[in-house]
Amino acid sequence: MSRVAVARVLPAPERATTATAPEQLLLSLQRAAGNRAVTRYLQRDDDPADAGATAGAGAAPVRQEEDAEAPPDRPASRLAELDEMLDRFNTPEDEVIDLLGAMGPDDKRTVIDSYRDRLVGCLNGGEMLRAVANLQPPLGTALDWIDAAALFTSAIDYSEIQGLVTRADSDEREAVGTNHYRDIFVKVCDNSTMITALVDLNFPWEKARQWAREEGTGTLDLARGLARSGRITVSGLEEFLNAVGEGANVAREHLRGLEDDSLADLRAEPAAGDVIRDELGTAGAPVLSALAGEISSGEATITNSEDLLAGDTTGPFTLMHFGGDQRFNVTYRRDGVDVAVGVALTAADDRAGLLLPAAKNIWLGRIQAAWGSRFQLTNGQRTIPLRFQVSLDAGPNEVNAHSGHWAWPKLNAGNWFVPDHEQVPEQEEAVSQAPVHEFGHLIGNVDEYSRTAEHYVQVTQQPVTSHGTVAETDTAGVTRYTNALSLMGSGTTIEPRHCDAILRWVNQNLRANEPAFSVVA
Amino acid sequence: MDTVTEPSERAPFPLTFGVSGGNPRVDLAMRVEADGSAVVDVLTVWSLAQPSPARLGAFRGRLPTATLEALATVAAASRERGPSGLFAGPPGTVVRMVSAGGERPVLAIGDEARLAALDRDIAEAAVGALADPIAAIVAEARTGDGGPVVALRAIGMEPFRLLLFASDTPGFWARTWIDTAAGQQPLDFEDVQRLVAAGAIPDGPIDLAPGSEVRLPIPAGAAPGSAGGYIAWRRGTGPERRILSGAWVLPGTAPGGDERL
Repeated sequence: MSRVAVARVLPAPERATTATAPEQLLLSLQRAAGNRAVTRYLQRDDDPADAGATAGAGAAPVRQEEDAEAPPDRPASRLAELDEMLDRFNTPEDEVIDLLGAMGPDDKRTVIDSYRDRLVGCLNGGEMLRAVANLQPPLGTALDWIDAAALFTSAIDYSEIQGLVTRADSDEREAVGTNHYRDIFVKVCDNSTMITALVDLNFPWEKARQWAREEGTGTLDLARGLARSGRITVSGLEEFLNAVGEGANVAREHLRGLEDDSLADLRAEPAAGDVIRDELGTAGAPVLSALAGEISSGEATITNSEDLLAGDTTGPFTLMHFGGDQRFNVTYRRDGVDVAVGVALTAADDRAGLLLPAAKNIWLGRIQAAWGSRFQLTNGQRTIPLRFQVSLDAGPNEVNAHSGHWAWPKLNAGNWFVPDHEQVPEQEEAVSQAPVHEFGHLIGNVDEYSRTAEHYVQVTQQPVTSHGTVAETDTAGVTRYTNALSLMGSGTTIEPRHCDAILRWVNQNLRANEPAFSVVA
Repeated sequence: MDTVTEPSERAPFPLTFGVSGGNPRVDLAMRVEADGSAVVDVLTVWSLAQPSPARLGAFRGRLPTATLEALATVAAASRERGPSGLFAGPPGTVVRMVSAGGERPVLAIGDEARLAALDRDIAEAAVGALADPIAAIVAEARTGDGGPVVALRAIGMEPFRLLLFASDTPGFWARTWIDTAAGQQPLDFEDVQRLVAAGAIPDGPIDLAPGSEVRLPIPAGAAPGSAGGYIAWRRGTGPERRILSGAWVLPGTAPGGDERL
């Protein structure tokens, strides 16, 4: 929170004699007669001039060793002296404060344990600051007394209590890590000094962040402050924070460009993610992804385009064009490439609807068994697995699921056939496996059947004389070729080339100066 | 498919209707005369839903008058549009082509719902034609002395011109394979080559007389209940060698499965 004005330590006691504005009157009364007098005045609505008359009233303090003879090595108790001062009509605050500093440890302990209300009743905030400096109670006690004594805690500057914080040991600092003390610090600090306070308090990051947010201090500023003070010592943090300060795009690029080890160090520091979340909000999502190791992510739209020698069964072949757009999402991470493909399946008939849930499980299993955990991408710097996430519940690729025999006229593009053990057992295996080929189309592959010799070699990277090639000749002597082994032909073998569309996308979205990948089995 | 106006004139006979392409391969054609008599070619098991064992080859059938009229309308409209627009659809599309009067086939055009209805009617007529083979084969798997085989037996009135191996051109050698959960398990080229050298598989086309058969070995590993497929060729006019592709099931009970054919 932003502060209003900084009230300085109030001067030595003087009796309030002039009634002015109510606040001024209260401050004057507090200076002259202490908080207890102010309280009594507020409760009784009495003349403040009379309030000091009862300032000495209150619970009798517990006195230690007052009547005992002090051992030679211990100072004599001065609690009676303190009592006498506190009982005066006009408490001599400076003398009280000095006396607290002069007391021995036993007296101080007694005061800390039993004099809180009496001191709060007669000292104002500034005086209490001096008093606790002399008395040296635990940090939490000091803060409570100051907060109780000050009419406006927010008028206290952090610099005035900083010494208490820095002198406190780690247990004392840890003990003030509660919401109660957080509220005191929020009153005392502004955006800037909260960072100083949190540096001094040496809280764990998450607590420091919570306190800073309560104050309204930016997480980025907090992180910078903690980094400069050495409270966070991750290598490269300062550069990262500067990049975040310049916005999401710069931050993302900065993270993408880091070496793996540097990014891992940064990711292990919780401040890094919190800075992104708090500073960039929703715009920080891609930055968080980059922090998690993502190099690039996006939708790949592949326009399949293929010329096949199609045509009538008994006539000459005719070169025809087939094509269409396929969409899938690719995420290139430092530890792998994930390809997400979505298919919206619609049952074309009642039996297909009945069998579709089981069919989905079969097809998902077959697709994963065929495509998953099979290939890796390598570029000399890293070798990472190619993973597939397939959904058959929704997606941009629409497919109709049919029951019955897998044959024309139902058999056509965009139609799958549910495995039907009861009614079509002879095709159960074949239709279970068929979507593995169709999945190949969905990730950008063209067919490897009914090709001219030239196209066959281009697409399959194999000669037409290879043993996997099946030829077919029409009445005019024109020959077309089909790869009988390849999944994208009429077979079932998946080759590295079947990941080329994914590979192209990844290689178009590399980091600067990063070598291109290739696919290996 | 485009919406078209009614054709300005009737299409001359004979009419042809053919569907081909897709994965697995569809290959079916019908040639129809003015009286509705038809010759139907069914070259792959996926071209038509039919009982097992599937029949592949040429069959004699008849097209009902209403179906004939519908085909004539589509053929007339399609030939008026001509050969333009050779975009056939997304990968895997089964291409539908028609012709009239012996002209070169063109893509069938028209209202898709009417075309789909025509598909169904022609498929029904084609199924009816299977009972009257002209020159066809039936593939049956069985376990012989030398292990499981696929026997291709000729049926019909005329010999079936079959090609299982052609030493003159790479790519023409018969395939058999087993369908497994891990994919197809194919017969190796070397195995086929060895059988050709031994005379068990003929090199070049043969005229398989009705009732006779040739056998192709099934890869090792087939067990009762195993299923798979085969590829061979029908030798046609001139240099024509068209793929025949079908499926087989080895009789018996698959481990943990049901009794199959």
